[in-house]
Amino acid sequence: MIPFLGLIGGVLIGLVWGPHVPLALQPYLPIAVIAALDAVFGAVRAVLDGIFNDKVFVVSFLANVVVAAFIVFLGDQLGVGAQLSTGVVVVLGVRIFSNVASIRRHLFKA
Amino acid sequence: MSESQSQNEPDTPEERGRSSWSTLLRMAKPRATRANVFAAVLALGLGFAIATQVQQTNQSGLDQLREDELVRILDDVNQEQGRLGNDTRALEVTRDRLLSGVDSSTEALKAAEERLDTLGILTGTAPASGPGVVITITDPDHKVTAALLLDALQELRDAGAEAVQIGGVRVVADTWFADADGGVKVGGERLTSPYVIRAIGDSATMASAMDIPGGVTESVRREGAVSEVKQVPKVDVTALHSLDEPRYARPVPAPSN
Amino acid sequence: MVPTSHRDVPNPTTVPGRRPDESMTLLTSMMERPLDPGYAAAAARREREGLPPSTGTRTLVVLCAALVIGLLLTLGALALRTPSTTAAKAKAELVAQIESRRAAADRQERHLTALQAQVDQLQAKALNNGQASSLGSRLDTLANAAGAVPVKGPGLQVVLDNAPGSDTNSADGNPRTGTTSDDGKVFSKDLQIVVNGLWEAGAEAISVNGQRLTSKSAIRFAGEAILVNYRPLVRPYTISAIGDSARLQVEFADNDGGAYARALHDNYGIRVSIDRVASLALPAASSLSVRSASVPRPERTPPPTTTPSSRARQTHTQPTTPTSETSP
Repeated sequence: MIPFLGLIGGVLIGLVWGPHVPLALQPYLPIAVIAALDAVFGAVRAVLDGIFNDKVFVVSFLANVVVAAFIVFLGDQLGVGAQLSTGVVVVLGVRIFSNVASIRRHLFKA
Repeated sequence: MSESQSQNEPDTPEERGRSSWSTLLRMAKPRATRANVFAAVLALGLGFAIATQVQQTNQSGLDQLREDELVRILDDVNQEQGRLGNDTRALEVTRDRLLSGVDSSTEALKAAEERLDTLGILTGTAPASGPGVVITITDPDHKVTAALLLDALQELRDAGAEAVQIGGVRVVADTWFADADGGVKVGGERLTSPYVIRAIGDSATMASAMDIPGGVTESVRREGAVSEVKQVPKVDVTALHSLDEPRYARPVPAPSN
Repeated sequence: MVPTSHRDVPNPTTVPGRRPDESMTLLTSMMERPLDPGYAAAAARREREGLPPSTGTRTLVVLCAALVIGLLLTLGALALRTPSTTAAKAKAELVAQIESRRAAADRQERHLTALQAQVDQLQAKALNNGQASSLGSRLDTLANAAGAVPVKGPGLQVVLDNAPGSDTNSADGNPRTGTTSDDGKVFSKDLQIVVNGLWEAGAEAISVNGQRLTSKSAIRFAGEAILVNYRPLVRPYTISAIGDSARLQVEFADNDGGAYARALHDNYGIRVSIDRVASLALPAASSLSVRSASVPRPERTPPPTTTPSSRARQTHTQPTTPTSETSP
C-alpha cells in the first residue's frame, strides 16, 4: 500500500509542479525510466518471493539509473550512443520480462 | 493425449518423423474446446492487426507534407468540389428537361450540340477561342528539351487550360513530346524555336503558374532561352487534331438504369 | 539430421561439472537471474541474524523511493511524448478535412458519371427519332476519344514504386531524423515522362491509379504527393495503357520513355515493372466540361477574315472527313 501511495504521490507532484527537465538531460530520460521500471518490477517480484529488502531496492534503483545513464553518456562520447542505448534497453527489457513472468506465475499460477 | 502414449513408442527416425506429422495432423483437426475458441479469436485479432498495419504503411503520404502544401491541396480539392457541383447541376437541368418530354427533341438537339462543342474542343476536332495566354519561347541555342515543353503543358493544364496549341499542332490527351535535332517533336510534328504556345483558360491562373519558383519560366531562363507570357483576352486555337479510330480500346456500354 | 523431440535425452558433449553454455554467461545470467541477487543475499543474511527475510514494504525508505519513481515516470511522460503543438493539431485537422472532402468529391464524381451516362442515353433515344442519328454517332466517337466513356482492351501495365527502403522512418519516428534520400522516390516528372513515352508508343487510352487521362489532365507534384486530375495518388503508381500490347512493349522499350524508365531502375533502384495484360479496364473521366473556351461561330454577316473559322465550322458539322489544319 505504502509504495503504491508513494507512486501516486510522485505522479501528482510531477503533474502539479511540472519541473522542466534541462535539455542536456533529456536524452537520458527514457533510459532512466526503463531502469526505474526494472528496479520496480524486481522489487515486486522480491515481495512476492518474500525476500524484499528496502535498502537493496533503493540501491538497485539508484545504481540502475546511474549506470544506465552513464553507459549511454559514454556511448555518446564514443560515437556509439544509439547502439549502446539499444543494448541497455534490450538487457533491461529482458529483465523486466523475466521478472514479470515470475510475478505472473505467482499471481495467476499460469 | 494419453491415448497417443499408449501407442507403441516410435524408435526409428522415420517413425519418429511420421509420428510428428501425425501429431501435427491431430492438432490441425478442429475441436471445439474453450481454449481453441480463445486461441482462434486471438489469431483473428492478430491477423486483423497485421492487415491494418500493412495498410497503414501504404497510406497516402499526406502526413508528411508541410502545412502550406496541405493548404494548397485543400484549396484544389475545394475547387474541384465546386467544379463537380457546377457540372452536376448543369447536367441535372439537362436531364430534367430531357425527362420532361416537353419539346424534348429540340432540347436533345440543343444539348447534343453543346456536348458536341465541348467534346470537340477537348478532342481537338473543333477550333476554340476564349481568354487565355500566349507564351513565346525563343530558343536560339536549341537548349529547350521535350521534357521542358511537357512540363509547361502539365503546368498549363493544372492551371485549367482547356485548349492548347503549340505552333501549328493542337495538343490533346495523347499528344507526345520527343527531342529532335534542333527542335522538339510535338505529336509527331517537328517544331523549332520560337515555340508559340496558345492556351485558353483562366489567363491569370495560367500566367502565374508559369512564373512560380522552379516553374517553366525559370527553367527556360536557366537553359539560356527566353520566355514571354502574355495574357490575351481572346486567344484563337485554330489548329485541329485528326482522330484515329481506336482499334484496341472498346467502350464499355454503361449499365442502363 | 535426426529430428529431435523432447522425449530424447541429448548426448552429453561437455565435461561433467561445467555448463555446456558457459561461454554465454552474460546472456544466461541476464535471462536466468533477472532478480537482483542482492535480495537473496540480504535475505540470507537477515535469516542468519534471526530477522524475517523481508523488511516489509512499509518503511520510509520505500516511500521516498516510490515518490521519486513516480516523479521520474511523470517527468518522462511529460517530456517525451510527442508535443501536440498547435501546428501539429492544425495539420492533423487539415489532413482530416482533405480526406473527407476528397471522399465527398469521389462520391460526387461517381454521381456525375452516372448522370452523364443517363443524359447520354436519353439524348440518344431522343435523337434517334429525328434526323440527327449522325449527330449521335459523332457524339459517340468524340466521347470515346475524349475519355468520357469507360473502355476495355489489351495493353501494357507499368507500375512504378519508390526504391525499397527509401522511405524508412528513423527509430524515434521523428521525420526530421529519418534517412530520407530523394533519389529513390518517384516524382511527378517520372510519371509524366513514362506516360509521354506510352502515348508515343501508340497507346489509345491511359489511366494512372484509376484516373483517366484526358486533354485536361495534369500530372503534378505537391510536396511529397503526386496529383493527377487534382487527386493525390497513393503508391504504387499503376499506369494502364490500352493498345497493341506487343507493339506497345517494343516501342516503349525503344523510345525515350522506356529508356527513362530503365534509367530510373538502374540508377536509382526505383521499382519498375512492365507487363502485358490481356484485358485492362479504364474508367471514364469525370468532369469533362469547358468553361472558358467556346467554338467560334461565324457571325450573321461574316467578314472575309473569318475564313479559318468557317472552314473549321464546316469540318465540325460534317462528320465525314475532319481535316487537320497545320500551319507551315
